[in-house]
Amino acid sequence: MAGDEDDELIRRIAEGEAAAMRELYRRHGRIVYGIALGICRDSLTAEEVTQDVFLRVWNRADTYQPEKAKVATWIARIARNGSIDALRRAAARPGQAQDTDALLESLLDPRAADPRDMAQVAAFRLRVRAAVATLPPELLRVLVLGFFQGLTHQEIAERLGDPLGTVKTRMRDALRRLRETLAEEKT
Amino acid sequence: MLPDTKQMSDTHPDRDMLQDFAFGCLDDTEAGRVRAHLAGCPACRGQVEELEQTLGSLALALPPMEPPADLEQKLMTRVTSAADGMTLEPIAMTGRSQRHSTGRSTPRYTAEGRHAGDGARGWWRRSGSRVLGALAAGVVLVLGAGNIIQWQQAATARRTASVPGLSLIVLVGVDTGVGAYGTVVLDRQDNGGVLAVRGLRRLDPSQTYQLWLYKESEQRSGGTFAVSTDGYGNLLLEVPKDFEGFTSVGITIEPAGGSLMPSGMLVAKGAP
Repeated sequence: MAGDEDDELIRRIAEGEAAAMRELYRRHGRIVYGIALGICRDSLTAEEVTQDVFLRVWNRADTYQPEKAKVATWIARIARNGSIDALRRAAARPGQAQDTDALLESLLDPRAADPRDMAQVAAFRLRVRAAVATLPPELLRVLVLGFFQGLTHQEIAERLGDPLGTVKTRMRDALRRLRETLAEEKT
Repeated sequence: MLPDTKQMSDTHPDRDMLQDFAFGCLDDTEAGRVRAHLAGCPACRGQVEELEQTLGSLALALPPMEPPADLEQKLMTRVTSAADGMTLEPIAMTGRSQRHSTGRSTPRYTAEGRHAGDGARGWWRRSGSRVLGALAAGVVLVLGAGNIIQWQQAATARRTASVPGLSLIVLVGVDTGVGAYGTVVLDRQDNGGVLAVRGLRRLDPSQTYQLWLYKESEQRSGGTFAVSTDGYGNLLLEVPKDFEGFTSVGITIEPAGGSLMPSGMLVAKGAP
C-alpha cells in the first residue's frame, strides 16, 4: 500500500539513502509545491519552499513517527509551516498580495482528482476537501486566514472586524468539525 | 501576563494557546514556554499532536501543482552534498532569497521547528570558496581528532590559519558531550560561518542541539541542528553585526525548535 511504501522510503532516507529521497520527491513533490504555491502565490518562493521542505525531511526523517500520522500528512504540515514562514518574511515587502478569495476558490475547486496522484492520497484529499466544503462560510474564512495565510487570531479579528473571542471560537469549531469528519485512519 | 517557565510547566496552557502553538502563531517567548511545558506533559502534547494531525490533513486540501522540471535536480544536488557530510554545497541563490534574509540570530519557531540560516545563505554565496579550503582542513581535524596529539594539532591549525579574513574555532565536548569535536570556520569580513561537529549523540525528537555565541555577559543563538546516525552535524551561521568579536561558542541541548537563551546542558565549547 502507498502508506507502507512511504514509511519504507522515510526509513531509508533516515539511513541516508539519496535515491529514496528522489523517490519521495517524485511521490509528493506536486503536493508540496501545490501547498507552497497556494499559500505563497509566487512560483519562485514556492520553488524555494519546496526544496526547503524536502531538505527538512532529509534532515529530520528519523523524527517521523508512523503511528502519529501518514507520511503525506506529515510532509504537508511541514510544507504549510514553511510556506507560512516564507509568507511572513515576504510581508516585509510592500505589494505582496494575500488573496483570501483565491485560496477559498482553490480549496473548494471540485476538480481535485488527477491521475498522476497516488490513489490513496488522492482519496484522502477528496475527503479533506469535502470536509472543508461542509464548513459554514464564517468558519471557513477564519480557517483560511489563520491556517493558509498565517494570520494570528488578533489579526483575523482586525481584518474581519469581529471580536477576538468570536474568532477563537470559530477557529476552534472549524478544527473540531474537520477532526470529527476526517478521523484520519492509519492502516 | 503569561506565567514564567516554571509556572508554565506546572500550569497547563488552555486550548486556545495550544491551538495558537500548533498554528505557529505564538511569539518566540510564548512558543518556548509552551514547548517547555509539552516536553513534560503527555496530556497537552497529545492535544497538540491531535491538532497537528488535523492541520496536516487540512494542508492536503490545496490542489497539487506541477513544479518546475529542474526542481528535482536542484533538490538532489543539495541532498547529495548533505549526504556527503564533508562538503557544503552553496545553496542556489536568487535575489529573492537575499531579500528574504532577516539577519535574525534567533531561530523562528514553527510547529516543526526551524533552522536558522536564511541570512547565512548570502554569506555562503559570497565566501564559500574561501571557506571551503579552511573547512576541509577543519573537518579533517574533526573527523580524525581522537586524542591529545590531534587536539594539539587542532590548536596549531587555529594559530596558523592562513586564509586571510578567516578564523577557526575548535570546540571540544564536555560533560555528556565528551568525545565530541567541532570546528567553526568564520569569515570575519562577512560575519558568516560554518559549524562542523562530530561525536555528538543523536537526540530524542523533542530535543535539538543549539549553537551559542558568547560575548561578555550576552549570548546569541547561532542556530539549531541535528546530527546524523554517525554523530555528524553541520550548520551555516551568520553573526549579527552587533555581536562581532564574540569571545566563545558553545553547544547546548535544547527543546525542539530551539530556545531564546541557553537552558539545557552544555555539551561542547570553544574559543577563538
